[in-house]
Amino acid sequence: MSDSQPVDYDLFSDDTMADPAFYHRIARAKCPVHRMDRDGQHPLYSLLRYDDVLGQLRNPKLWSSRWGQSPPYVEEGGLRSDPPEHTIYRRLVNPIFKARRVNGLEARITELANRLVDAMIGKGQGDLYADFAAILPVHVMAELLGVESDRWADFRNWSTEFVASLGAGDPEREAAARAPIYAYFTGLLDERRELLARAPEESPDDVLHVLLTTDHPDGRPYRNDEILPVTLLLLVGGTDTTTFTLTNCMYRLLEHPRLWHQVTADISLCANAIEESLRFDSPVIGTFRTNNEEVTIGGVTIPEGSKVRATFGSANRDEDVWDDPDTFRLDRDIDEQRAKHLAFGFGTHYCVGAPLARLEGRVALETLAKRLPSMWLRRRPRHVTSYQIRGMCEVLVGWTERA
Amino acid sequence: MRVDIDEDECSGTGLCTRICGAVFELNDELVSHVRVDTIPAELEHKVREAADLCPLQAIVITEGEG
Repeated sequence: MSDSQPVDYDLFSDDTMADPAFYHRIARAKCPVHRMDRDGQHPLYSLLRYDDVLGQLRNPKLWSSRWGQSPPYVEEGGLRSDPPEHTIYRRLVNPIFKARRVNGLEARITELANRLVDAMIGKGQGDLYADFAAILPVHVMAELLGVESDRWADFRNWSTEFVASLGAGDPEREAAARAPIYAYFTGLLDERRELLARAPEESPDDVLHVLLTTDHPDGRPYRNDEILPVTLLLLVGGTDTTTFTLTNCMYRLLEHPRLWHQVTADISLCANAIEESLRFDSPVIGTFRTNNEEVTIGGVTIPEGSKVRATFGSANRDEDVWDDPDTFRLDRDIDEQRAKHLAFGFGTHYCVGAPLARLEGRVALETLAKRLPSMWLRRRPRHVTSYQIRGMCEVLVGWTERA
Repeated sequence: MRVDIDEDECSGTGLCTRICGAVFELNDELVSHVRVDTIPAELEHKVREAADLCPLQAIVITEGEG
């Protein structure tokens, strides 16, 4: 216990945020169950080995989400809880992301992606983050939620401000950012409820329809106060993370032009590239759980009620599990990759939007590869400053030929 | 034990294939399906774990003769 910190792995330092994989690698070798002591605050533990992370995620009865999934002890509720509360919300969001519904979106996502590429091409050069990847998931989510297209610009501003308010950790700003989103969806939900009552056959088969017609376990419809948080969750969980899946992937492909060339020559590799990016630069670095009883892992005793991070980013580079883990490769078996990496978590809290994220990532990449095969990186991309998120937030590119 | 996939609920997370690849596999549409006619007794606990952890609760177990 006393020597649990032989390496300077500080979750919150600029160094770690600039290159999490470097710090994960040295920590995995020297102290794979790491304790970070903090002045005047509770320590934070990190599990860094694949097997330990998977073991944690596979045992939600021991590793509770009741105290939230971030460092502080807060009862966040909703989806960040344990069953049975978790199940109530999960039942509401699951139908949105059913394989069949998501697969039906491909043509529409392609159209939206092409529209953004058209606009970027018109500018002569671009930023794959600001001009493309930051916009596409918000538009897809707006489409999914039935936001009228003349409100998409508003929707994007609300979404950006709300995500920023969460990052700033300012409850007043968060409440202010939530207000227009709740006001808008309250109106939309009331309209649709009225339509369902009056002419159910006219109600479009979209997400709002699902939200309004799914039964609560108590056998009644879900209320607005239960549905509205879901709209926020879709914004927070479904926009930034998808954006960074794409920018991180493009960074690695363009960093090694040979890889980009391979992808443009064989579009079917786009799916492999997205899956490899999820492993290599997992956008969500990790998530916290709290143990219901004392446990000992790898010789380290973790007292009951500790905050312990399942470090997805580290598990996904574990040299005991992956060949050549620190090389971005397109020739890994994609089915094995999908089943194995932990970028979306595992088990009860597995990312509900994973099928949509995969589809959006692949379609976006295919669109770029087809339209701008000559693309190159103009400078080293910038990353977001976050202990939770690994993501490139400026990817400046140029091109000569275009299609 | 009998096990079925509720295909309307499945979103193709692939967790069941990871927990018990001998019983579950993903089809081309990324929907899980059961690849065996009868569940070997020694795999029943794995199948239960998969059903327990499936975030979509899409694995339906019927206890008794298969």
